Amino acid sequence: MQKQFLLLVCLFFLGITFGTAQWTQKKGTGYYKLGAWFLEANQHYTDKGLLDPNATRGIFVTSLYGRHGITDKITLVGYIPFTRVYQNEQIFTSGNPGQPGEAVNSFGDIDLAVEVQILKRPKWVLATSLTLGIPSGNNTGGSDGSYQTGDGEFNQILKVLVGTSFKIAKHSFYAKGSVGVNNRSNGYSDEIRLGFETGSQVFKNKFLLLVRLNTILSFYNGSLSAENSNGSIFANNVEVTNLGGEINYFLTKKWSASFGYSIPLSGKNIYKAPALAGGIAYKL
Amino acid sequence: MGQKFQFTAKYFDTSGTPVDNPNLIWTVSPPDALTIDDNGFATATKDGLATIQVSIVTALGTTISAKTSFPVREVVTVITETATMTTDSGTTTTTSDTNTSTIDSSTATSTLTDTSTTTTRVSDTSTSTSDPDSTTNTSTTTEVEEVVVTETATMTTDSGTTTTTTTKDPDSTTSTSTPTVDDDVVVTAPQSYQGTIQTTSSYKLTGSYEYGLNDAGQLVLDIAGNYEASTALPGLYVYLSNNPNSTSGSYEIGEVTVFNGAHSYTLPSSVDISDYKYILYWFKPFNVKVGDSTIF
Repeated sequence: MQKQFLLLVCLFFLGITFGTAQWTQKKGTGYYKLGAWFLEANQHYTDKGLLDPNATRGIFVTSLYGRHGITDKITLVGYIPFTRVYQNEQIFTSGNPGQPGEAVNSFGDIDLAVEVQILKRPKWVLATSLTLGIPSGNNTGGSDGSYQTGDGEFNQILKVLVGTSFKIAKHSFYAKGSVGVNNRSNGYSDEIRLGFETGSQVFKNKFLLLVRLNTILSFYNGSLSAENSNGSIFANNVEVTNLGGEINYFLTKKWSASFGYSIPLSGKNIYKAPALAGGIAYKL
Repeated sequence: MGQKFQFTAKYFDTSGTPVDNPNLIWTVSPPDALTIDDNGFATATKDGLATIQVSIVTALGTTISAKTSFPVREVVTVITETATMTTDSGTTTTTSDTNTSTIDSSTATSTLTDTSTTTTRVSDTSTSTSDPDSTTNTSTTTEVEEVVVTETATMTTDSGTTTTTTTKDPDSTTSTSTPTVDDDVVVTAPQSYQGTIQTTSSYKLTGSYEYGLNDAGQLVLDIAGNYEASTALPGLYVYLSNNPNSTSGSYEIGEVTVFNGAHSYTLPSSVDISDYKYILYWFKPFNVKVGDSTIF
């Protein structure tokens, strides 16, 4: 469950990073970001989508994200996370046994992607992307194997992306939507990933405000469960709908700073907690 | 003085070993039938059927009890009857009879001790007269002879039924008392429990079980075939605990590896059936309870 959660949050905050980037890069241009996000959760969505408590756990991820246009139609994307998963020491006055604090620090799963522009029109663009989730993280971290920074499996996410721009009351907006399939290995269920984002630059284009809605649905076709995993991983079949917002402030034409907030609206087998993100980006 | 009984009870643990100095609680029904002190010494105060119940509160807070019923008579225990007979020789005989009954129900068998005491007082009065004017002297001499007869009968029955019979001189007094003990006052812990595991979370967890000794004398938690648990919880453990909301001081049986159907856990000899009151299912990574069951 926790591991799945990490993957989800990685996805969403990749989305935040994408938010200020070009749809696809032109040749020789790029967008690079040093970012971080974290959350602390004391409850989670169960396999029935209901909320249950849990020992408070935290995740802090520092990441490097970059996208670079090698042609006008092909953009390479990389995401390298360094993850800290922790649980503070638990002390109960009721006599209930606590738990000692524990933390695992390691690289998470690295994502490598390629985006290809398929069509481009004055008001909209169509592209596709293939993301490979490299199992570079630790999938057995901690004393009980639950402090994981990666899932140990190879993700292959194929997406179709559509973007457009429009005006409302003479104010320019953009909107993006995506549909993807995540083909997962090692007994994990495959997933459908849906995304929608819209935003606009305000205050003399010094700020970019955007909102984002992402959903993951499971095919429930994986064999992995507690029954056959010997407890070394958390649950399969993660689902979630997440709503987030982000503010980007353009320090200069090339540098910008961002702050984001997101929260799951519903889910299964995933933490219920808001996540905070921030970063510094450079546009080449 | 009413009929007197001395009751004792032993509390046996599940291995059959009696527990020393158990804190027994004695109660009487109806309340006016007997008086009974903390040591189980009862005195009849009213004729009729009386019930003695002995209870003990175990270390786990559970009250277990046993009871016995028997008829009592207000005046039985001490019977004093006097018969005076005049012998042909002019001797007067006085007979007193004392009957004391004691019931000892300290073990699985009951022991009855019947002590009859017969006191025979013989007064022999002879008179002689001495006439000073003649040669006759008169004097009065009283001779007292006491004869104490003690009879003791001990009877042990498997059924716990005891009978006391006191027989006296058929020509003068005969009395019979028959107190009956219906049940032995022996308190032992049950040898098995049955219950149902229930979820206390949003995760599926249900099933019935039997917790007790198997034929080999091992303590076993047998989970029935109707057991089902969510497979979304790696790191689910099962415990025996005395706190329904904590694993503090609990015994960790082990990690759950069966999520559907019958299975069993054999416990070590160091765990007694009465040691723990609850079964807990605990999601260890999150340190939260998922389900439980009250054993007793």
